[in-house]
Amino acid sequence: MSDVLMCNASTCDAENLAARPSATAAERMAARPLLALGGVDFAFEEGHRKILRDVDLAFAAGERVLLLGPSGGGKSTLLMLLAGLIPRIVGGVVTGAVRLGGIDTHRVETSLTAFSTKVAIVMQDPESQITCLTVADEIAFALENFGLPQKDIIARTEEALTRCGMAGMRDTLVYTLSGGQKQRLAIACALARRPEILILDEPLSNLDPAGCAEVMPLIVETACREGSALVMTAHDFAAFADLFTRVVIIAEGCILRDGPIRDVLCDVALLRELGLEVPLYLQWAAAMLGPAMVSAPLSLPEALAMVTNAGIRPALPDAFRLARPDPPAAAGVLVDVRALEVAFGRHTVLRGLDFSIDRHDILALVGFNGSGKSTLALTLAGAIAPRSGRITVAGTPYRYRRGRQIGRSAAPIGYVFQYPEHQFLHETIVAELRHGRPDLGDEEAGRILGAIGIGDPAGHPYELSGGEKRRLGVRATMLLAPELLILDEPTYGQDEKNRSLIEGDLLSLHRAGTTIVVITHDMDLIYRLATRVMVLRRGEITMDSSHAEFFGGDVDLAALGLAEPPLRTLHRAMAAG
Amino acid sequence: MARDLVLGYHDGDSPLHRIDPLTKLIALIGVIIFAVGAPIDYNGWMLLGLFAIAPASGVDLKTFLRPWSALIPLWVPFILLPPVLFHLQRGFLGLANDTAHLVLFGHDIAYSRYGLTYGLKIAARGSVIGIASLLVLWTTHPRDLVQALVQELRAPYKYAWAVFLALIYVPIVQHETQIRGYALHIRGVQYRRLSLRGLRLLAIPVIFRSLRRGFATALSMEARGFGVAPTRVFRNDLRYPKPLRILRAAVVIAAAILIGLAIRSGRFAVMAHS
Repeated sequence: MSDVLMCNASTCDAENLAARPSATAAERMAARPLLALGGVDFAFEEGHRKILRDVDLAFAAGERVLLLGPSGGGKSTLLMLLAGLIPRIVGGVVTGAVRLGGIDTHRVETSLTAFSTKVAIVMQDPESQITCLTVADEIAFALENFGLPQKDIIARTEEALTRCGMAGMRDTLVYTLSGGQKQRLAIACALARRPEILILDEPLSNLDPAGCAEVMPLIVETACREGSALVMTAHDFAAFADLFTRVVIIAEGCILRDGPIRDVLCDVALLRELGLEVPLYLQWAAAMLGPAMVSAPLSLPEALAMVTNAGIRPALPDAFRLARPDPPAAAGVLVDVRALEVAFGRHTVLRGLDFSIDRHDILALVGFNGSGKSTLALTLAGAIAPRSGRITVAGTPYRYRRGRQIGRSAAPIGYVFQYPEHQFLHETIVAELRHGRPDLGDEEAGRILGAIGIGDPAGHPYELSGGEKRRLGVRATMLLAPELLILDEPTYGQDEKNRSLIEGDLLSLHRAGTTIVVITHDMDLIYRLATRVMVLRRGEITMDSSHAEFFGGDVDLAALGLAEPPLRTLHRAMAAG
Repeated sequence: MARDLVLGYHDGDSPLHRIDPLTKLIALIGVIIFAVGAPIDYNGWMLLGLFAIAPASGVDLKTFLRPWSALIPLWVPFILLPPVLFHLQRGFLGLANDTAHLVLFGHDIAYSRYGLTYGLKIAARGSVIGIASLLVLWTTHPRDLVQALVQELRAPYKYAWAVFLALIYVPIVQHETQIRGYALHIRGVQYRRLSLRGLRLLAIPVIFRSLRRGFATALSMEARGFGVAPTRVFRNDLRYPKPLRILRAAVVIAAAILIGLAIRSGRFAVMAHS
């Protein structure tokens, strides 16, 4: 993907000293960076724990910075500070220097206006950023605020719509968009502004793999064209690492590393220690080269070339072999769906679906954003009444009255929502765990919470970070030991360590006999766990096949809105010699 | 989903959708003032008139009738109380010969005929205001309303935008309620909406999330330069063809007549005096 961008990237880099990734923070400050932090500390209240500590960072025009760090390490806080939202809107105590275009924003009373004209931020939750009713209005919102000439507003809105693949959605009501479409819209809004500094907090988490492959080069290309500095956080950056020039690692509020991407990523041990997601090709190169790896590869071909050039014959260590769950024993059908049609008013979301789910299946529901995956999952769980058709679970059909399911499903169902807050019922974290397991003792609850990195069992679930909420939602649902477990993006926003934990839990449940339906864009999760893959497109099933058929054949994954699982790519490369 | 919500804007291209927001707003003000100020007997006719106009909103019958399930319980006390209270005060009100009887489950219940008619008229008045407001809400894009207020009435756009946010907040809260309802159903929680338990499980989290979402929206607006420029440029201008401008003039005249009739009826003077 980066071939197209290479020429642009070099133009960007050559612009000035400040853009050079190898330049030190002091050099960048001296080169009049667009935005710089000098010895910045931040706490939400005086005397409270510091969320950011002694942060020195500078961002210059044309830089493309990847900000990495474990969950709760201070990434989002840092981004809000860079966008000027801290301390102007989100209160707190900031010490140290924050310079915007060379002006110390503490000494001069700099309003949020000064920041908003130069800095655009896309926050983690795209849903909460929506201000208008239609897609085009949302994109035009900021442009109208800045008082741009009307013809520019129209041109930029149309351009953003087209470039972000939303041209057909100009007048679509934003509340009817899927999570991924809202994410795409938030990105389109930021790109339309053509800011000097573009800040993106996990902008790809909700997007389907095809969407990521489409949107990421677009973001970088726009940043390069405008000479903007790009600062972005992402857990899974494997597919687009080569688009970045610099990496900053932050943990517990401190900057641990700041330098050229190939140098910083070379320290695989540190990345693992912090629980960060290490691209598979990087893991493989580190395993093959050991200490001889002095520069991190940014793609699999690069990794292969590095290994070959070092005179080492590429091989597949045991850790990179595929450990598949046991094939499901023939145990009959758990869920049977016939002629299912779901509509909201005049808008039909699912059309004539016919399928069944066998007991002990791990079914991956995949497809483009807005294809109806979450709606299907909610309908299977009995939350949405279909317009027509029949759902039978454990031999008993669902019955409905006035759009509501009557009674309970014949088999216990667990459901993990895409946004975990929706499912929390209790005032404390431990009560949330005990919802389906009232017998859960304090000690066991503490052990479970400790394993998922949550310290205070008496805290309110809403006070947890995004990643922690998801882990709590997943774990609390798993404790119910449901017969059918439905998970909507369970690994979204999780670092490597927590992803492995969730994956391990799913395997344990599967071994214990739970049937699992997982909606995910995490292709490696599907490749490693799923026994069956079902692809939805515009509310219809376009493919329903076993793991072996899906990954063994010549299925065009990109055409289905999917990406190649990195592990499969590695296996193929090895097989090809 | 949003188009089917009870109070939100319904996307469409019906005759009422095509009328500009200010015309509808003026008509609504005229109807409300007339409904409150004119003799109560007119409200029945106005109600019939609104029912006749309703198909021009493009809203299907099922959606149109949905708010009635909420309105009917609201109006029941207004319909039932006057017949009983007027009967109890018949001597004072001079309604001694107005008493009628109803046998209900073997009990003879005396009530005032005039009181019953009065209660029905009060309910009709409330319904007129409710239906007229809903027809305007359903067929007016909030953004068009804001734009009309800013561009045609020269209202400060920050205040006009506050109206817009209030209007779009309704679908946000309804969407949150819907999702929360799904979660409660899936997690096997039995509750009644109008109970304390229902309030704790459904309403409080929805309010909490909606407030937080409101804060996040404000954050997003500030970060995107809301209020940076003293005036606002709109992506599209509001342009209406000549027939609609003539219609607006006619509506202004009609609203003025209705308001004049209401004032002439003397009811406002009585209200002011009391």
